[in-house]
Amino acid sequence: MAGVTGPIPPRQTSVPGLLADEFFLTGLDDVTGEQRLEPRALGVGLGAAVLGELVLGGRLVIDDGRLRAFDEPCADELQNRVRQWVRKDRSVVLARDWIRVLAAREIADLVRHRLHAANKVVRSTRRRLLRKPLEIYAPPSLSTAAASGVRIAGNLNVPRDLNPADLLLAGLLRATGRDRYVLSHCDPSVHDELTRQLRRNLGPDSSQLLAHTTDVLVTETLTPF
Amino acid sequence: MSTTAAQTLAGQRVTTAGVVFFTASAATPLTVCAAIVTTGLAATGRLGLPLAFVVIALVLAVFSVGYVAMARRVPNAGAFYTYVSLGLGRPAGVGASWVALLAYNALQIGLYGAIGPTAAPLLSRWFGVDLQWWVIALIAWAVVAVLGLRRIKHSARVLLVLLAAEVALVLVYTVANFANPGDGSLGFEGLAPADLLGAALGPLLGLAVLGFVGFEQSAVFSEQASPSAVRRATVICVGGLGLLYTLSSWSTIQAAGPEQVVAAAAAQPAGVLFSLAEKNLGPWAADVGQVLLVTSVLAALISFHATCSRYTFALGRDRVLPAVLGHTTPRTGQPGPASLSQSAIALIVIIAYAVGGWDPLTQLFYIGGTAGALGVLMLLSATAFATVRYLREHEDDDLRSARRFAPPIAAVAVTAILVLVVTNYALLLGVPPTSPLRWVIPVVFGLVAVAGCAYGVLLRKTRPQVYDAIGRGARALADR
Repeated sequence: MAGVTGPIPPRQTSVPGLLADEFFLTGLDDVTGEQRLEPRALGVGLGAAVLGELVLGGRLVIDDGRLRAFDEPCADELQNRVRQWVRKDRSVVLARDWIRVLAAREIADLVRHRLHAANKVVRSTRRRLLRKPLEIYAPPSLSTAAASGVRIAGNLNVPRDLNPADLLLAGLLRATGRDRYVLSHCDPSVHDELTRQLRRNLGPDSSQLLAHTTDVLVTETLTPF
Repeated sequence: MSTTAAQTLAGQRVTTAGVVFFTASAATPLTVCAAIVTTGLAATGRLGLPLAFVVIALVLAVFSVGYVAMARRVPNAGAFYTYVSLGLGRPAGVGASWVALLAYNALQIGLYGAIGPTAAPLLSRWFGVDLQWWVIALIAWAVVAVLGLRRIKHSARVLLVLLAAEVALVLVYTVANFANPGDGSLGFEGLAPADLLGAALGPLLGLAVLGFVGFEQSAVFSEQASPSAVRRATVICVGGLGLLYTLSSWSTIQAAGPEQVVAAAAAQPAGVLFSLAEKNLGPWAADVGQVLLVTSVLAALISFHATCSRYTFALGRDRVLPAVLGHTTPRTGQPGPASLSQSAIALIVIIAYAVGGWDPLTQLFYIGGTAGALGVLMLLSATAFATVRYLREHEDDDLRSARRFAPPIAAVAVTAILVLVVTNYALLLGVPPTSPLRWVIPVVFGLVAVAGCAYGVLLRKTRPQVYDAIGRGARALADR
């Protein structure tokens, strides 16, 4: 996003609730459209983001690390599916484990499908020398992909409080290391501002979700396989 | 979705075999059998190494009881550092982490001294090129530095094959050695207590510990493998490596002849195992062994590099080291800055040795290895005491008597070995008894430990938030 300047886009560009979509798009390279997050980090981040959508939509609470889903359908098909999984399958209860389960169940593909079905991205393949072709799911205009990152960076720069969805998104970006890229053109103080807001404004459920995501990611980093 | 979430999760778990392979490849059995055994024979002039391996395997088995119990209660990938923080207090944990960093870096960088001398003869014989040791070391360095930045999932499969080949080869050598004893019949030289006791006891036990360094990696998987998998893997590693080392070193002594083996080891420090194989099995066996030795050293370099960078990463995460070291690279998910910094240190050391013209084998590999072994022993000792305290404070009903008695025994035994090693350190290093190195290295480790503790206390005063997070792992980050 280097070199992005100009006025901060208005807030209504964000479609509230589809945190996973935004997380996916923020990971895209703004020149090539490739996903810059490593597959495992992407899976973990997207798993957490879909759970975050349910938390923000009031369909899920995290009680002492355990997930509890309510019997109240969601409009979004993917959210509903994950809510049903969590509600019906009590073999796993910890948020940390559910994030791993979602990553293992190829949540990234499901999110890609959702983005594709909503016409937010188009699918293209890029042939590469001596390697199998790369599938790219990117919006027709790559600046759309950067929008939520720009919005978060702009608000932190002011500084202005992020809305709950953006704050959780920013937290997930930080957990996966993507924040350094998204905030790279900002004053270094935005990182402290984000820390402050995460500590002060993040609700208890989101904050537990973020803790568990970080936990999973650090473990993934520390174990070699 | 027909499978339950628990089944999905179980499918993602690292299996016992996965933990065993990773842990054992960090111990690099062939390097131990080819280099450490002969070093031990040459430096000490005593035959007690096979028995020393048995003793250390037993001590480590006792140690593992508490270690694994701790890993189950505190699933955290920081292992030693976390356990010492929880058991002996956070300042001690910081001290332990500094010692760990120094020790693993010494072990890793020391190995760069071994790769040149092991690869050079092969290159000159096959391709007719005579390369300086540091050229080979720099090539290895580049390979390690590049692989360190990527997830090693695919190279891990290569390492598995290499490890299996190494173990198979050592077993073949062992059988051939037993079939051709030097004195015509097999004896108990090497396994008799008299061979181990005496002035060489400390160095022999220290060398034996060096052979097992890497077994502690099993606890790193405590979050990704089931507790019983970690327990089984630790037992298999300690038992299996112990058996392999004991048989191999005993058979080497028997095949070379107890009278001649010390002189032979002194004459060709990294070659006794292979010259015996050539005599017993033919030249192909020695060639295969020498190729595998090079790949084994390379595998050890990669594995210790990963350990170093993960430790640095964990400390950066906890803000004990600069926070930038605790970042991952989003593209690879690997601890990039930590890996690069380790590579930078290694490069500086290789260049310094090349410019200084010091001998890579005796002055880099042996000294790095023995210094690292001392550090790991200090960590084992501190961890053993931490386990005693932690398990006593968090006693619960399922604490079986083995877990009650094993940790104190391990703590005393490991500390006794540490004392023995320090008092006979010159012999272990292979330097004259008047060399200042014999006290410089232990003193440096002591100072680093004290400085780490002091830094921990300083953190409590100046940055209480960082201090509170020490040893709590990732969970502390979200509260920050």
